[in-house]
Amino acid sequence: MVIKLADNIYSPLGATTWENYQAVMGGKCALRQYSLPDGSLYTASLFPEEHRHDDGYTFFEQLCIVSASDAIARADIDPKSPRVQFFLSTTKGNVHLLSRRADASKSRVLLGSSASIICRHFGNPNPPIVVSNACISGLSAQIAAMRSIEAGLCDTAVVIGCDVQSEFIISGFQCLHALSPDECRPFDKDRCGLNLGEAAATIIYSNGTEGWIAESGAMCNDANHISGPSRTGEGSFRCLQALDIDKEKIAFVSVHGTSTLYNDEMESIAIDRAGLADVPLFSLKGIFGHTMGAAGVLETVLSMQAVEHGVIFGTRGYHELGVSRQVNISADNRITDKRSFVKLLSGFGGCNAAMKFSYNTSIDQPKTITSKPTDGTITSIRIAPTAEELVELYRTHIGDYPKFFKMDPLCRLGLVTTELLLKQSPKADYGVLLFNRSSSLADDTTFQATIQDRGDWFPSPALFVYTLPNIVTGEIAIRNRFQTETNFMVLDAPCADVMAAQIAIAAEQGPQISGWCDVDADGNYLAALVAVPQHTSKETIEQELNKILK
Amino acid sequence: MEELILKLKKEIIEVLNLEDVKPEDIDSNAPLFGAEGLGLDSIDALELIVLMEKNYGIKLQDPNQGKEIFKSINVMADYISKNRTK
Repeated sequence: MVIKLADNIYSPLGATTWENYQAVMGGKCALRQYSLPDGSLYTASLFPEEHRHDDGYTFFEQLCIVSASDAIARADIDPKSPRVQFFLSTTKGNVHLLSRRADASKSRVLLGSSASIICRHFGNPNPPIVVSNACISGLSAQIAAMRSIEAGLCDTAVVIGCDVQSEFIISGFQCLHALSPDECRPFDKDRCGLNLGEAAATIIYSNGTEGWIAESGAMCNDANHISGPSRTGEGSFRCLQALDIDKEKIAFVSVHGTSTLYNDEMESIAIDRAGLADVPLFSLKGIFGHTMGAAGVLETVLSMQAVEHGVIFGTRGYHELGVSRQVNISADNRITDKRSFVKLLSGFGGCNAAMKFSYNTSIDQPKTITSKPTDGTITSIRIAPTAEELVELYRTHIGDYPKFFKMDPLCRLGLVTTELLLKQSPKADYGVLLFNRSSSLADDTTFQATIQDRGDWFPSPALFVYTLPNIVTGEIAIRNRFQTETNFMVLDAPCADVMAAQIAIAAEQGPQISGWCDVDADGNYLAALVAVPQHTSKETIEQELNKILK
Repeated sequence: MEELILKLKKEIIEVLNLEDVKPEDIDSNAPLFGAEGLGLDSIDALELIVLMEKNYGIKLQDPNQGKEIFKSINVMADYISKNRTK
């Protein structure tokens, strides 16, 4: 079984998990009101300004290193071991560096580059895997870590979740009208938007039999819209169903609870449809804000603390039920003697994730991977078009999807390549797991231009929604109605070995459309994708990837 | 008004990346959102709010106001002509 060895939370409320737990129990929060250049107000949980400096390591990297250092010391592991794998969960990393016109360190905006610097700090020899799957990144990374240990790819996984806030992110959410000027009110009838937050959190997993067990995880796409959640809670409902929950055994569902109208309503529907409406739930967003890439890890770690202390957290900011389903939520802390819980998240790109954790309880024997690799036929494709050639490919081979023209370059590339690949592949409900180096850098740069000049400060919502690399997986899911697992990983360089290993463990869940999909800062396009049947071996996938990655 | 309507159509085509659509293809009375007409969605609505502020100095505080104002090109042009500050 995969168990937790140690953890850490480093937030404006404290530098350790214990300090953060005590702060929550003491009713503290670090939410404060700030203003944007256009005078609009927002509330966020931010580190003090004097902490925010980029010498040597950037502020983002410092948070990751401080958080991971504490967890690694507590776990008493050797991070230099080749059997230790680092996973970094983040959405935007060092994106704030884009605002500096003449900054030689702009390559640090690349998530893989920053992750390698963090990894090198600990002397770890393996290429770090960045999971950048919008707001569910923290659970996607933990699921990847859990499966990597189960598949024997590593003995220990260090999962760091972190995001820091910047004008880039805040103005983006502001132009989507998603931010509340005041403290947020998850699930409340008067909720009017989210608060952003910053934090780093680390959780370390290994094989074992005692302590916190990562029992199961699931990811499902709504295949509905790239920024709006499904009105029927489809993806979240499917995730909860996949976890096979015995509601008598779980203490609570730790929900996403961002305090936006649509998210909280969607979650209430998903929870009700899953038969969990009477199970207590809470959101931590009214204390920490939405910490994005850190959220999945931070909220998992705090939920573990709650169970260990027999507590169900109250939801700060909640007063009166404001969702259509009668879910079991309270402003006040409650008590529990149950030892399991569920963590639920959803994010842009239509992605949803859930995990179930249990503490020292006798659980059913974990599912062991008994399926033998079947090595069915893999199909593959490689294209490296110019922007104009890509439009020609669309017109020649697709032509009936005008939404194509509204997409950013990365989504256009992923969509067209997938269409071409599917024409030569068996029909199936494919999961989508894509990798690249540049993340959404081309779009990040274009969006930054809309906020670079104070006199011409008009952040573009249509550009901002594409500043997450996983949106391409959402566009592919929407086009093909894939209500399956979607995920996006960023590497410092294409590596068939690492990619094949992750694709193979994803392919245990179902067939996958997977591979490399990158648009770099100079506008160079490269897609090298494979369609992989379920239960395909890592070796077979790696062989095919080596042919098309060259 | 005709001049403003044509300008508005060109601006919408540009900011919403409506490639393959020409100003003359847009019926000034047709709904901008939904299956008929241009078939725009919620993100497009937010982008139109930015367009109104950037090009005409009109700031809509509540995105729900857009539902009325963005009914058609004619309705939008009428609102702009009455409320523009630049």
